[in-house]
Amino acid sequence: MRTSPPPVSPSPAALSARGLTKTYGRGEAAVTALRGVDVDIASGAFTAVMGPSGSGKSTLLHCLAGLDTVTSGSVWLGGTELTSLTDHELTLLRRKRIGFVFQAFNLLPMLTAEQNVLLPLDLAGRRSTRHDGSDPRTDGTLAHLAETLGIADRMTHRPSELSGGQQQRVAIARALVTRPEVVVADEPTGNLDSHAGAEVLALLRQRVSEFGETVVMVTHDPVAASYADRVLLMADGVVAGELTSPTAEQVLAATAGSVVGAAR
Amino acid sequence: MILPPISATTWARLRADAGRLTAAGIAIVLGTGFAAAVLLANGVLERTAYASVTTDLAGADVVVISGVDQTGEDREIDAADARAVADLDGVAVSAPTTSTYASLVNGARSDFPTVSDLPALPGLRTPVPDEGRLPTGAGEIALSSSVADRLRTAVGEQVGVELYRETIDAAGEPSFEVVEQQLDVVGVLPGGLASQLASSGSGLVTAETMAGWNRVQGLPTGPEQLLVVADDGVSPDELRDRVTAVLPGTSVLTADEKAEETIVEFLDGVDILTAVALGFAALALFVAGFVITNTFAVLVAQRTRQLALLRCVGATRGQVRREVLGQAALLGLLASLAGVVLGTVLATIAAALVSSAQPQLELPSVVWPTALAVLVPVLAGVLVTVGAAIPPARAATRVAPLAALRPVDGPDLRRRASWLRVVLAVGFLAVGGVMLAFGLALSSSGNVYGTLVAAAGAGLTFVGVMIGALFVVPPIVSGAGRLLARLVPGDGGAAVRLAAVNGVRNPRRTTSTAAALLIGVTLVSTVAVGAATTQASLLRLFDQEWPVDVSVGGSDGADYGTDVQPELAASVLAAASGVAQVADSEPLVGTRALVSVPGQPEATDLQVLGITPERGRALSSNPLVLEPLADGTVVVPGSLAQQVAIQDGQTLRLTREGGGGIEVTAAVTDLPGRGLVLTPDDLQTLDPRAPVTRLWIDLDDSLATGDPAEAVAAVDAVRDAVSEAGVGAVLVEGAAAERATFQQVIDTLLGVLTGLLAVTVLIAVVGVANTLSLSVVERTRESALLRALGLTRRQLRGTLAAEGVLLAGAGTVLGLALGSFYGWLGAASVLGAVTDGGVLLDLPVGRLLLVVLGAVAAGLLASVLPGRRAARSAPVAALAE
Repeated sequence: MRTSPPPVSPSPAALSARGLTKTYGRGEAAVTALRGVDVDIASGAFTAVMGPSGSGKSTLLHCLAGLDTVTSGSVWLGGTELTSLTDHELTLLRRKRIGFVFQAFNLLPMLTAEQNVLLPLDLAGRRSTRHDGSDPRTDGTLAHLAETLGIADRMTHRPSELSGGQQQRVAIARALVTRPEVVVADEPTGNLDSHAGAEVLALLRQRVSEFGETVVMVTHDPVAASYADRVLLMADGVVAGELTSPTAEQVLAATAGSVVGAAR
Repeated sequence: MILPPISATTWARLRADAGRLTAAGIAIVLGTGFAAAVLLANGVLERTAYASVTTDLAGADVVVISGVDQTGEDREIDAADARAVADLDGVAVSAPTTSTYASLVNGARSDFPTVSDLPALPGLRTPVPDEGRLPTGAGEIALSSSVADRLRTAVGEQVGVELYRETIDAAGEPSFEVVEQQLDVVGVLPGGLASQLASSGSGLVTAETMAGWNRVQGLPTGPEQLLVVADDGVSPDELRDRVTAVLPGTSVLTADEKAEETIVEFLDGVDILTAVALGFAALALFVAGFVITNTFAVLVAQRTRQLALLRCVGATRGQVRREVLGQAALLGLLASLAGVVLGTVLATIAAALVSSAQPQLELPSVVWPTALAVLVPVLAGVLVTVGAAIPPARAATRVAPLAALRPVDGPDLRRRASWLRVVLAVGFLAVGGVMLAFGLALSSSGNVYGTLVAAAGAGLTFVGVMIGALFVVPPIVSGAGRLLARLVPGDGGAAVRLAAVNGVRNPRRTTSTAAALLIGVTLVSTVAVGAATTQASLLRLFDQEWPVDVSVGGSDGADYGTDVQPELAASVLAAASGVAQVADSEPLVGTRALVSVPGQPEATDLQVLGITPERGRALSSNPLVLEPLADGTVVVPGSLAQQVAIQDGQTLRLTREGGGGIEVTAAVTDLPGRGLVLTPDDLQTLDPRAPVTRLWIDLDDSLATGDPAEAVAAVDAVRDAVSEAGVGAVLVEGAAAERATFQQVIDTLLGVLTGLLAVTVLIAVVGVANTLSLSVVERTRESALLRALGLTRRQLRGTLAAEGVLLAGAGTVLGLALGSFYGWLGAASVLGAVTDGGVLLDLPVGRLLLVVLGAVAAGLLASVLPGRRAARSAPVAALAE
């Protein structure tokens, strides 16, 4: 058991990390991606993580979301310490308490949009419900979600019949359907044109502002980051700075030269 | 076909894809190994047969037998010929010999071996007795161990030989008189394949004895053949020419020529077996082709970008095709060579197993691969591999150069059902179905070609099923998957639902994987159901002809006569019913009666037996035939009823000369034989002093399905017990031995065919594992996404296990259904004429269930390794780009 103290944060944190270190490989080939990161992701806020390639932003997200193991340090989701969980416990935690939106390959090609949206619930069994006992299939929230995300008329289609923006909106619906404590988005607009990207970001912004969801997003796009309440700037495996409710220009200035133009 | 060139890059690709090609390679190794083993076994059998026949010639280099001379007269050999040959230059030994079939008897036992008068001369390899010595005087015989065993005799005892003397009576009618002579058994000889080829065994006597037998039987007393041994340095061909020169008109053969002549029939049999086994090997390779096609289809799909890049930088379509086919050719070559090694090892192991069981066969201890056993499997393996890779290679040539620049799309799920496919499938089914029905109608009317027509029709319907499988298999897989998902509790259901969806995402691959299994399982179940149905139907025939296992005191067979049968002595009853293998027995009282049938002027003299209904039904092999038996009823055998014109339900009057009479109602059943059956009470009324004339015996049930030799031994034991009770000759008859032999023949045939088909099924199971592991590779990112979204490792493994079970299950269940249908139809058409229409469909439920369980287990097993690999990868590793 790790003995890190529980986080003491001023605002209720949805996700916290203390002393987070992640090293890949061994010996001379070892690469350290995170070097003792301390971070709190505030509940009910839209947090963006920015940084150049190799800064460790994706690794941080994966470790926070229980997708990857950590070398040392601790991660807390609400009152649960993730690093002490078994793979099975972590899987169940991801299924119920975290929502995911990835850059690409978000949807299973052989399932319809609706089946994709309900996948996290279905994985727990045909009659499974959210952790609070409600069922989106019967309480109208699925329809509402589809409505607010503008995909109500696409729900019976398969991914190959949807545009990139529509696919990402289906992925957002899936991430939200379980009412997770936090939605984790990894470059959600990376594969979209600027118009579709803006729509997706506006939707995420809206979910936070109007429905009080918690979103943490990794991006290398200053414009995308400008939708966030708070932007964490990563460099060389540590959080090197942060901005609060920045404009795109402010983000661009803060990351001058190092992010813009860098291949992702 | 010109094989594509194999370049260094082909080698490199093969090494890079080694993991993905493993299953395809194993499939080819199994198929070609099977073919190589069959060819090697054929060679070993032929050489062994030659060797043992030449052994039978006792080392002679040349054999002289009677022939026909230039004038067309028979040219017999005599002692003068033997001397003439002996005087020839280069002849070491010239031995006149004769061999004949002899009817040997010892008490109730008899055997019919070949006996020869091969002399013990230096230079001839006369058998060396295991026990005793060779015959030296008249009236002595040495027997091979198998003959001695059958006759239950040993050195120092005597056996009889029955000689048949033909006599012509005053009216000029020939008749045969049996002359029995006694022989002293002086030696026991080793058994051997040669004697088994010739007959059931062998024996040796002196020339004097042989000539004596021939004199008694009025046959020529000269030798039948001369065995000639050459001096050192004289070749058999040279010797043959010299002998031919002095004995014109005779037939002079070298030992090899003689051997070939002797075993040509045996070799024809071996060749037929080899052809059949090679047919199965071809089938196995055909199924391996499915595995190969699947493998290369996936390899090409995964290399789409790379192939497109090759096209971008200037590779032609032909070069892309050659690259794929070159890889296939190299894989086929390497796997086929490995297959030949496997086949050689298998053949060596088989030879070792057979020689440890039958040491006298003198099989080689190591089987070396022959040119044929290398070339044929390697050629077949390479051709099948390249052929199976052609469709994927064509797909590879269709990759547009621009595909290199586009992101990889998800697989296209909506494949239009080709109209051509629908038309072909329906066409084959319709034409095949019509031929099948026509063939069945033909064969039920007794036409022997009906079976051929029906078989061709069945083959066409199977082709139709294979073509149409694309429409049938995916819905079955997904339907069964959804059904299974409901049955699996908790979050396992989600895993099975995913499997059901995965099963239809690539319909072609799903179908070809299941179809590979379908072929093997259809054939296995055709054979199983056909054999069981044939067995059930023919055993019923047996039971119709023989009411009980063994009958003492008279024949119950269909052809038994109407002679008065004597009373059975109490000592005989006690002896027979005391035999260990007898489970139950019942004495029957019997008499004769004049039977008056209403409307017929004359009464018929018939035999009547009495047994209680309970005991009769208990002992009968077919209790139905005695079902109506009761006081006041007489059971009439069907054949007798037809002959005497007795109708079911008629009132018959049975009377005895000088006394009793009784009126009873006739009940005509399938009871065999020509005896009426009454209850003992009714029989007492008819004849108060009716003696026991018959004993019905029920043998231990295990004998019916066990080793026929034991059933034979059981009947022999009853026979021995009766003859030891020693009250003159008493007839002991029973079909138990024949029934068990028949059952064993079918079981053996079934076992051999199933064994041959097992290779095909094994390859198909390898195909299931192949499809699953390729799917795992293909779905790496998808699996990672699912893991991120909350699919547990167990669920991921469960998904693959369910896919394996669904794939294997679909192929198996379809195959079982088809095979049962074909098997039943096959038996119906073959037996149609024999059993006047009544073919019992007998589903060997246990065996078929075993096949289903085996398939499910194989599907599960096939998913183990792919499932482990899929579950090992961390979700994030697969998502990272």
